[in-house]
Amino acid sequence: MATKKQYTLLIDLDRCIGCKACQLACKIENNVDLDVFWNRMNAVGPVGDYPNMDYFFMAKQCQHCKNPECVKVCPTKATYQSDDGIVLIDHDRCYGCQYCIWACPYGVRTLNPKTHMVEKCILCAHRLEQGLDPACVVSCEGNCRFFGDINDPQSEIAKYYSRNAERAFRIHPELGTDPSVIYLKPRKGASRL
Amino acid sequence: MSAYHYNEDGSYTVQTNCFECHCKCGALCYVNAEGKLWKVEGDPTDPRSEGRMCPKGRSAVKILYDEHRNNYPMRRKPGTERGAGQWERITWDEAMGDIVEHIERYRKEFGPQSIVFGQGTGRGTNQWQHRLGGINGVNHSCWPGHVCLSPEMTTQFSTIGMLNFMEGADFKHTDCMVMWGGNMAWSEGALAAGELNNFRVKDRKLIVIDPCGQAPMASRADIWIRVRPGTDTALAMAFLRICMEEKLYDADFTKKWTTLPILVDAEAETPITQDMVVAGGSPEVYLVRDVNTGELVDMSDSRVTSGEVDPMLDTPVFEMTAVDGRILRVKTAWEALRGRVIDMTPQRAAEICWADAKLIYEAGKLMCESPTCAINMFQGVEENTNARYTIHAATILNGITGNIDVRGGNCWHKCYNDLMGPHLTGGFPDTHWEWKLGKQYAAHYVHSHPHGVWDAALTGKPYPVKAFINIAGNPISWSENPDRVVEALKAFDFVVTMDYFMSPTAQLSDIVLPSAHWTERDYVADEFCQEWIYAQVHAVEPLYERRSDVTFMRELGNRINPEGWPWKTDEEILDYQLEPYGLTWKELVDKHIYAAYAYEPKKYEKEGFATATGKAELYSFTFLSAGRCDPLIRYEEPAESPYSVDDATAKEFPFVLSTGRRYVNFYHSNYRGIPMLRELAREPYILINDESAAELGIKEHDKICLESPDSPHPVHMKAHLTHGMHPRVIIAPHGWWQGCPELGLPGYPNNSANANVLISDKHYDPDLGCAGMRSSLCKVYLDK
Repeated sequence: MATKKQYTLLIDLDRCIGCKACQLACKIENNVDLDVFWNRMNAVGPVGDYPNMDYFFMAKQCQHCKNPECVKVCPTKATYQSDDGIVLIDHDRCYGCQYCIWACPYGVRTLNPKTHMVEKCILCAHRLEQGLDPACVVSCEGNCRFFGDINDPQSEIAKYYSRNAERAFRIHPELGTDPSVIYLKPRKGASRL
Repeated sequence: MSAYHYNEDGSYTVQTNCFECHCKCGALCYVNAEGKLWKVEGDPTDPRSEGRMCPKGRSAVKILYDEHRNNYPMRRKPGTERGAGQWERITWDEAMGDIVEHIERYRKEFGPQSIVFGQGTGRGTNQWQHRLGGINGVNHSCWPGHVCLSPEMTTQFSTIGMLNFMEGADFKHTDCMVMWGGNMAWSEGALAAGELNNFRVKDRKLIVIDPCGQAPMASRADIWIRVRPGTDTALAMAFLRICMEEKLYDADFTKKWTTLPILVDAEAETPITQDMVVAGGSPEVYLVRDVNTGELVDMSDSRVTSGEVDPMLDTPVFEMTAVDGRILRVKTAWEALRGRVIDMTPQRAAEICWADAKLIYEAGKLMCESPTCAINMFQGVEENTNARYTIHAATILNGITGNIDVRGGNCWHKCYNDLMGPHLTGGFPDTHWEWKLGKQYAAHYVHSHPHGVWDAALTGKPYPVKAFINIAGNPISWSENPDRVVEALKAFDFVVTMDYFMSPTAQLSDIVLPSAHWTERDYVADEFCQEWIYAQVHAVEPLYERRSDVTFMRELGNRINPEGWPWKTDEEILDYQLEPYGLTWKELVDKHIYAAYAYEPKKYEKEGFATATGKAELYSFTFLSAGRCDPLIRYEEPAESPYSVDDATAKEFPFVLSTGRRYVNFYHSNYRGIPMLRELAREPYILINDESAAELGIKEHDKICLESPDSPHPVHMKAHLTHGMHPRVIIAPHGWWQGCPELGLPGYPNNSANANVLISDKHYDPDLGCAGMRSSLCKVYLDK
């Protein structure tokens, strides 16, 4: 029996140059309002003493957990999981109670002050329908983002993952949320990670 | 194949090149059936950028339709003061008529030299701006060339007849990538972002020389040298010493193709020419001495390059009898160079540069021992009062390690020679050399030095300048001591500014013209394009009454100097630009990309170097002739450094200040008003070491003031504390003037956040006129 399709976003932090093209491409592609971010690039460091210093970039967006806290707490079932493993928000049902913002351990949901509804990364679901990768993936200047079905061993993402599995990590695995966003640790500049 | 790809519904895609910076990444512009540009993406078929595109390029849609853009020609309302912000809309015909009438009047009364053309970094139109001036009698070119591009171009063209740093650094094929004074992954993503990562797969080496470690390149480097701003010459000299003393140089290239084997006076280090030692000899023949026979041979003799003659490099001082019977003490230029660098041990360089001797040694070894090594230098080394020495020293290193014009080293892309050649710029008439302003600030700077232009505007000396025609430039942002620029602009009788936005300079103008965005214009993309040229075609017709900068320059040129500006349409001028490549504009549009000079290594073996002697003049006859009159290199402290000012000044201004660090989301003083870009960097922040900040009671996000020995008033910014910088270095950004009402962020009037206020206009590099924007002194305190 074929394994279930699982969309995964793999981010190789070793290649991220902190250019914020992903952050901006996301805003333009999804018409995200000012002061609302679905995707943020953060710089980590520098820490340590010259020349042994750590400094790297870490982009963060909805982790599309397989066991999402936000879905559990949503009183109107506005937040839900699609068949492909994407966490989405039905804006016909959201009334901005923000329980999900409190429940999400990753701080990646924002209340849009204009619409009073919660927003977050949708993995460019409209692009996926057309067979296109999310905007952040195609816009990445460092080519550090890989997207696809990680359960398909022939996919680029599965191959890249298996070549680099020793550097792979998820954020807060201890919480049992089981994110679909996998990071690869930088080879240099993240000795304290 | 065409640049335009139409769909059935009337929508189309345009293959063109971005111009949110000089890097000109391949771009795909998507226009919908209503004719609206709705998306810009990187063009994966561009061999340089391979589809990469930074936030600026991706924001082109926002920039094109931004509501604060200049859309119509505007004239200052009669009877109002300049800067009062009272404008009336006029037609292009009225604007052109007004401009031409003023220029004709001043030319008649004060001569053509009273007309100053200028720009900022420009939008890829340097050659046409030069032509406006040159054809008019003097190429003032009032632009920031003295701190950007010209330092490298002048030094490299003078010594090796090419510009092989910048786009010439062949990061794609090199074994060792040296990023010196720049963070190209952000500032020129097309040429470095991919290579930076491909390196990590291919296990090649990256050396970064940068005072700031809070940057993607420094943080990934195999060796990061945290240099004191403005002391890079010492580093380059230490590398040269390693190369020479450990015999890691390419002796074959150095002997055959450079001026380093020539004989020079042992003390004065001036050339021993043939007439000095051979009766009836020529004063223009430089001599080398054959190792085996002792024969004196003309440096340019073909037996040198064929290998028949083996010029000596290493030699103790020896004596020769001159034709007048004097005994001459002689050595080679190579030995003169050795004498200059011999004391620059890694330890000595480390003391000067506040750096680590072991890392300096390792970097030097790596650069010399790698099969190929590509060096790129950027503004970090150009904006210092000793810039010529640094760039010259690195060029010598590039040469004697055998990395000039080879794959993996620093390639010679000849488009750059064309760009600055007489076909496009019109050359320099004799009157140019007579009328050029500010000669006292820079001996080898080819245009009027901007300080000389401001002097002339304010004092009328050496002659009055009346009109300033400023195309894509904001000198109040780019110039050192901008408060004086404000006064100078007011002193001009007539100022025209053509730009995207109502910049502080535009606000002080009499006429403001609306520039077309790159998505609205047809132009040739050439500089920074390596061996290629591209058709940068418009995606949409110009909105409102915006016009291409080149259209304006062509029409103005045609009205005031038709003999040098015969073209009646943009297509005609673009055809002329492309003539040397045997191509018309239409043909280029069909091809989109054209390999103007398919890369061939070591072109000098066939045609010599494009210098007066045909050699790589690493010992430079040009730099011997004027300015410092020094053909080689030496270490010189920045004019304003802890070690070059008096003790009281050094104590009052304890920090070394480096300004102008690049943002990935802004281009110089542009785009603080584009909300989506401003969101990525909302306010101007200095970088200061956390421990130094703690001593001063400064915390993260605190408002601070900066002052320098010559600053007329403080500059107001905010503090970002970083552990990555030397405790005595502060880095401050440039280009802050514009507000962003959509985000509720105010503008910064009266140069209140303009970093150049801190930069003195009293000290310049005597050869190239560079101001010390990257190496001045400052103090910092809480803004109460």
